[in-house]
Formats: sequence, C-alpha cells, structure tokens
Amino acid sequence: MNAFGLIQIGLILSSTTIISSLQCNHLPFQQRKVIENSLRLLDKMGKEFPQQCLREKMSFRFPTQVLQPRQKETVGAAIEEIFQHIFYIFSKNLTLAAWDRTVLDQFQNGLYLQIEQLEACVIEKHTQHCQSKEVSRLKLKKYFQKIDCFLKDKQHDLCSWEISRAEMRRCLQLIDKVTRKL
Amino acid sequence: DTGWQELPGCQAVAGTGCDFSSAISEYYDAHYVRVRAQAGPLLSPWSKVLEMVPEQVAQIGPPGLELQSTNGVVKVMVSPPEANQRKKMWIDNLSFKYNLVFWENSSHAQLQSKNIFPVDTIDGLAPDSTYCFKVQANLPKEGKQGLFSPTSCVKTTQKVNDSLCPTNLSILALNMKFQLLWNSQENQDVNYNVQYLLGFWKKLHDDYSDKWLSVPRCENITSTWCNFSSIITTTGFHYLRVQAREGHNKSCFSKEVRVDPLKTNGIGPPGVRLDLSDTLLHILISPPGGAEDEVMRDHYDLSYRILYWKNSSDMKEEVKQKEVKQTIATVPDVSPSTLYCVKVQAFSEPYNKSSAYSQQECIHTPAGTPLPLVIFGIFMGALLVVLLVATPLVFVLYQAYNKIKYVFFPSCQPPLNIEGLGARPFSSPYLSAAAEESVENCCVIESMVTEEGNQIVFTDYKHSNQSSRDSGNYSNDDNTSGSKGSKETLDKEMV
Repeated sequence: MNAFGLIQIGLILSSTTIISSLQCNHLPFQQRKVIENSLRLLDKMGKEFPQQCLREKMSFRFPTQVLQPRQKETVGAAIEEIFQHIFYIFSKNLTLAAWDRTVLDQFQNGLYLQIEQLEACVIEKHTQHCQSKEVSRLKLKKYFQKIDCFLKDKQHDLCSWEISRAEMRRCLQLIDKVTRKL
Repeated sequence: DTGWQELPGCQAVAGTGCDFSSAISEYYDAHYVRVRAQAGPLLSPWSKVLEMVPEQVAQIGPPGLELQSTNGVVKVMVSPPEANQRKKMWIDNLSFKYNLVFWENSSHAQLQSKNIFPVDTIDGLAPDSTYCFKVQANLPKEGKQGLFSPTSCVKTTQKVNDSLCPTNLSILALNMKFQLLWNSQENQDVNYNVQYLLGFWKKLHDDYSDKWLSVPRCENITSTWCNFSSIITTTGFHYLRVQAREGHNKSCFSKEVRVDPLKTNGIGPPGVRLDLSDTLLHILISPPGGAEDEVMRDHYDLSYRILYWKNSSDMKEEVKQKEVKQTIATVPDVSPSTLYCVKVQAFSEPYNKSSAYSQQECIHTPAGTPLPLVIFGIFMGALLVVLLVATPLVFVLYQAYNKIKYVFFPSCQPPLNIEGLGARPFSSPYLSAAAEESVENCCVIESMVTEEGNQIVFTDYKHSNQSSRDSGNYSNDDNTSGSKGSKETLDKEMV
C-alpha cells in the first residue's frame, strides 16, 4: 500500500455503473491516438504480406470521396461507419489467418471503444437527414459488402484474410490523413 | 423506354400489390418501379416512377430471444435478425442496438425498457414472479426501429443471498496505476480471484463466459485489493469481477465493474523545481507519472497551471497565474530580496481533468545591487582587465621593435675606411660574420720602436689576441689600443 501513499491527494473513485457522459471534447485527440494504435496493432498481428497471395489481390476501390472534408459532420459520420465495418469484419472466423489473437483482441477493443464514444457524441445531431450523408453511407456499405463477399467466396482462407488486412490498413491510413487535417 | 424489365410474379396481378423481392439483388442501388393497369386489350399509361433504394426502405425484422432464469436473475440471449440467412440485408449485424422491453405479468404491469447487449443479464427483479420479455433490433444512425420479437415469459427463482460474494467494488486510479478494492465478509478461509474481460466481447453475439481472464498476481489471494495496472491499455476498456472461493465447492462472482482507463484515471500532481538567473525565475516542472513514463503526457495532452506569488508577511500579495504546455516556464523581472512561492497543477483539456496542486516551492531572490554601482563595477573591472592585458603586450611589442631595429637598422655605422663596407646594404656584425674575418686579415703595418715594452707587448698580444676575436667593437673604437691593435693584427698574421 506504500506505493499508493499519494492517492490521498489525487484519488478518483468510480461507481459500479457506467459513467456515461456526453463530454466529447477528448474525442478528436483520442481518435488520433486510436488510429495510430490500430495501425500499429494491425501490423503487429501478422507477418509480412505473403508472396503467394499477390496473385489473388483484388481492387476493392475504396470510395475516397466519402472522406473529402467538404463537411466536417459528413466526414465524421463516414469515419464512424468505417470503424464499425472494420470491427465487424475482424469479428469473423479468423482461424485460418493464424494471427496473434491477443493483438487482434486489443485491436478490436480499441476500435470498439472509439465506436461507442462516437455514437454517444454523434447521437445528439441525428435529426438532420443529409442527402450527402446517405450517399456516403451507401457507398461505404457497397465497398464493405464487396470485401465481405470476397472473404465468403474464398471461405476465409489465409490469402483472403491477408488481402483484407492490407485493405483495412489502407482505409485506416486514409482516415489518419483526414483526422490530422480536421 | 429501354432498361425497364418485367418483374416476375408481378405480371397480370389481380390485386393492388405484389411481392417483387426475387428481383432485388443489389440492396444499395437505386431502383425504379412503375405500374400500369390492363383491362382486356386496353392499357393505361405508366404510373409515376417510384424511386427507391432497398436498404433505405427495408424494415428490420424481429430478432430471436432466449431466456434463462437463474438465481433470481434472468439471462437474456438475443440472436440477430436474418440470423441464418445466406444473403443478408443487414450485413453488419454488430451495429444493431437491442432494446429490451419487459414487464411483470400482473394486473398493473409497468413496461420497462432497457438497452442490452446480445448476451446480458437482467437483475433487480422480484423473486418468484413471472416476467415477460420482447426485444427489437434498432439502427439508430439510420433512424430505423425494427419489429419486436414474439413475447416470451419466464418465472424468476429465489435469490440465494450469498454473503460470500464480494461487494462494493471500487477503483482507485492515479497516474495510470489502477487498484481494485472490494468488501468481503470476515471469513478467513476465503480466496479471491480477480478476472477481467475485454470490453468488446460483450458486443458480439457469442457467449463470452469463456473470455474472462485472470488478472496476473491476483489469483488465489486473500487480500481484498488488486493492482491491475498490468492489464490496462490506453485504448480500450475492460470489465472486472471478483470471484470468492471458500473451500472446494463454494464460489460466487461479484457484480461487474467497467473501467475506462483514461476516464477513470486520476492525474497526480507534478513535481516542481525552482531556479534563479539574473532577474528570471525558472520553474522546472516534472510531469506526473515520472520522467520515464510517457503515458500521461502522450494520452492526456497535458498542460500546466502555475500559481506564483510573493510571500511577504506584512501584506497579502496577489496570486498570479500562468498556463503553459511545456515543462519549463519563466517569470521575468522578479524583484530582488523577495521570497517567491510557486505551486503547479497539471490538467488535461480534452479530458477535462486536473490534478491536485504540487507541494509549494519557495525561493529567495538575492539582494540586488543598485544599477550605477553595477555599471561602475563593470567599468572598473573592464579597465583592470584591459590594463593587465595591454601592458605586457605593449612591453613585448616594444622589445620586439627594439630588437628588429637593432638587427635591421643599427644606429652606428662601421668606419668608411674599412673597404668594401660601403657597398653592402646590411652592414651589421651579426649578418656578415664571414666577411668580417677577411676584413680582419687586412693589416696596417707600422714601424716598431721600443725594446722595453716588448715583453709587455707580447703579453698584450696574447691578451688582445683573445679579445680581438671576441668583438671587433673594442679593437675599432679604442685609440690607445690602436697601435696595439696594429700589433695584434700583425700577431694574427704570424699565427
């Protein structure tokens, strides 16, 4: 208990319920950290892209226009959508990918926290129905549907997972660039 | 009129509606539908075109619901809509938010509504009562509310009040060092096991009971606290629970507590050091968490609030404030012979958190010297330095000048009756030593007279022999030795 002698000066007790707060100030700063961390973990969970999978590489054509910073809110909603989709993809059957499970779990955990916090903050502004937001959302759904179908068709084998991982890395890097500008 | 296709199952329909699901394969693309009536050979014109995107107009179907009544609580398991369908409208079934509505099956039942995870527990229910449940899947971002599942009812059991279960879980967190504390009964024979779960597992549809892991160094312990800093990461949250075990068969889990590291954590006070230089007071701040640990600075975007004031016993001085982002701050123009006191607080603007103030540090500024005295002192010092440096330098230069003057421009010239000298520009004994010897070989012959002086002369010869070799100065200048000089030169010839 000696090590905690200073606790008297700065202790914070948390209650047993979830501290839900709509304090969103920390979100932009935290988001940058989450993306950095996610990219690091994405690299760490597996090895280099296997040579034999180069033949199967497919162009999914990420809709980069959804991240064009025309309107801050639209881009924010797009980023949240992308995080949600990436979280979903990496929750599938990953046995054939043979990645480091601990690292993958941390990756998922980081993404999920960010998604949850974005939901809590964005939910206030939901009433505005924006046409451009709808168009962005549908474009992203199409893109991730392509990846989902690709994985299903290849029965979630190693190459399909490695290709998907490389594609997700690209997504996160694009988000990273946009987040730094915001 | 090209591109329009006939919808299968919707040709020659008697009623005013038809199902054309089989024709829809692209859920995110815009589709256009039009209809016309036919009465015998007569065809009506086409109706207005209806534009629709399947995904936008589609409604979310009912989810599946399973209930389990155990120990006074009800465990709820929700399966997503389209659970076993090959082709799904809602591909990402993890984005559903499930809204559970339940009520007690009595006369004046009150509907309760709760947002739940796919696998969740409902507690706070009256024992031995029947409760009915139904759940809907929503997509709040798209403003969609799904259809409710069929209602399912279950009877709650008696809650076994186990005093073994740890209660009152609380967390103390400072500078990213986390400690879990709980209450226990007085029984000494109880072992505790602290477990943690990564937060995201609850979001998935699978049962996460096998995903709980033990916190290192908190397995089979008897103390009622646990340091779980080792499992904490700055991105991501966790749930914690404590299992109490008595003997081999009795075991009980406490309620879960959620930990959001960066939100739960408290920022400790920074360290302060003061330094003085001239009229500047330097405040050196060491960040909370220590210099070696970058976590606090990296994740909180720390800034520092500095309070400083003049501590004098007679009057109350105003406390000044300064906010900085760096760990060094400077207070300019401090008054001399004053006690300045400083205390610093670290705060994080994004997280709206601040630490306690550091210990107060005070420093006494030295007695200041009045300015004219300072200027005079500097002037005298400079003067002294100049004198100390300049005097030897001047002396050395003067000496050098003399030597050079003597060597290259001697003040005395050799006599003109010595041949060959006039022509030479550097007629100096130092520089023309070799030629001098030839000069000495010239002799002036004079008649020798006295006998008495012979011996004397001889000794003189010897004497002058030596001396003449030494320096030509003496042989040239002295008149009395002039004759001797001639004799000397004669002697030399003989030698």
